[in-house]
Amino acid sequence: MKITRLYFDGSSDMNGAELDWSVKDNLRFSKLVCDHFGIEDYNISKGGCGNHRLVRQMLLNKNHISEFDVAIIQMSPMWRTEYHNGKKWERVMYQQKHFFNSPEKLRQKLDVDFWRNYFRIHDEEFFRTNEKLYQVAMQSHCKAYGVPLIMIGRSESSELEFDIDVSDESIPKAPDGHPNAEGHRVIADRLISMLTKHK
Amino acid sequence: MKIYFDGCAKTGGYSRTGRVDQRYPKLLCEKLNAEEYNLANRNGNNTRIVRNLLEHDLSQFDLFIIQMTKRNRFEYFDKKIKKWVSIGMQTRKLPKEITGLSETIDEIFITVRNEDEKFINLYTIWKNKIISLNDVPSYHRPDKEIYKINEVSDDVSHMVKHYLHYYRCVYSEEQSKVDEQMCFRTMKSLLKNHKHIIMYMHSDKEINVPVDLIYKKGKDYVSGFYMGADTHQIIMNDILKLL
Repeated sequence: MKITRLYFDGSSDMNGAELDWSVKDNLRFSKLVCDHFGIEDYNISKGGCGNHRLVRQMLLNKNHISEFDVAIIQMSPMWRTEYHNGKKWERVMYQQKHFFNSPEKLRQKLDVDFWRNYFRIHDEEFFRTNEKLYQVAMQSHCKAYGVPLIMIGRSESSELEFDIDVSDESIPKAPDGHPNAEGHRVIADRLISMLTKHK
Repeated sequence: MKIYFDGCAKTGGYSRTGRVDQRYPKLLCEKLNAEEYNLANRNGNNTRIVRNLLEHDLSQFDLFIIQMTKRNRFEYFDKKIKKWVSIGMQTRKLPKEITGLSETIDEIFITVRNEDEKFINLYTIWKNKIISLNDVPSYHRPDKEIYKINEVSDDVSHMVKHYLHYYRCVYSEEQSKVDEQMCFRTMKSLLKNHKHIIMYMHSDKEINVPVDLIYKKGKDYVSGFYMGADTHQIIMNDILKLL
């Protein structure tokens, strides 16, 4: 299979969080992989986003998944979600089992009490099942259109199986835990190896 | 032959006349000499339909009949009772005996059904009090409906406040249309290599995805609570034409 177009989506690990902001688009693993194959980087990831967004984008993207040779998805923490405020989609970020009232949430005019209750009411089973549902939705969609799918994730916060585990200590990290420039290189090399085998 | 059915009360056969044995899944299976495997239930929702598909070995079935439901419904997992709970929304009358007003008013109720249970409970809030309403089929209304005030546990009270707020202030048609599409496309992908028919019986909203069969309330089936037996016969005939 000749690699001509790759689909990248995910959250901060794929978006290049903690990389030098001014040059992050050139350092993140999607760009490194695309440079290897001499193709344009198609990376629609967004820091802080949830898996709902990944499924929404894959299933409803104006660029149909069948237009891509391989899809590479980095699944995000299962507690994150999003909602539509009537005008646009808003992220709801929940990390380390705490829902913080941050300046970001004030800017979003997020209904903090509502979302705090949301995380009180919903059980881990709900989030785990949704995470699995999102993964299978993407797997089934790619399979239906014959597009190989590579899944990236973190085993430290998920029971799902991933092709590349970002929690792995062999991937160097920045202070807040995202892959650093060297880490992105390691992930890129693994992806290139997988994509070359797909050939 | 084994046929997999899922959907809401309509496919579950909760008939206006109470004739559950006249449901179209039963009629179809009798016609095709097939075994009926029916997961449809009241307050059924599209997320539940997708979850059910994921939890089954699809190779066991020869045909899938899926009836998509109202897109404003969903489910969550109740950590106390360890069950999935289907949530929906209805506008119902709130009598003046409850409100103290001079007239009966319309109010939003959430509808709640625990998995493995048949009955739906309805809840709303009036002046910070939780109003619960027992589940009575339409052909028995209104004489057996009983409203209760603040006779719920703290957990239920918390849940009712949360989801009423959701429907009043957070829920949007834009989001529910996207979720409807996501569920539809996931079903289509999961069933791509299996014979299947996806249908919709709309109550208050048009569906937003290309299903195989659509039945319109008031036109194709009775406008009251659920459907009559004749409608089930029509649906069975329509399915047979597509096979």
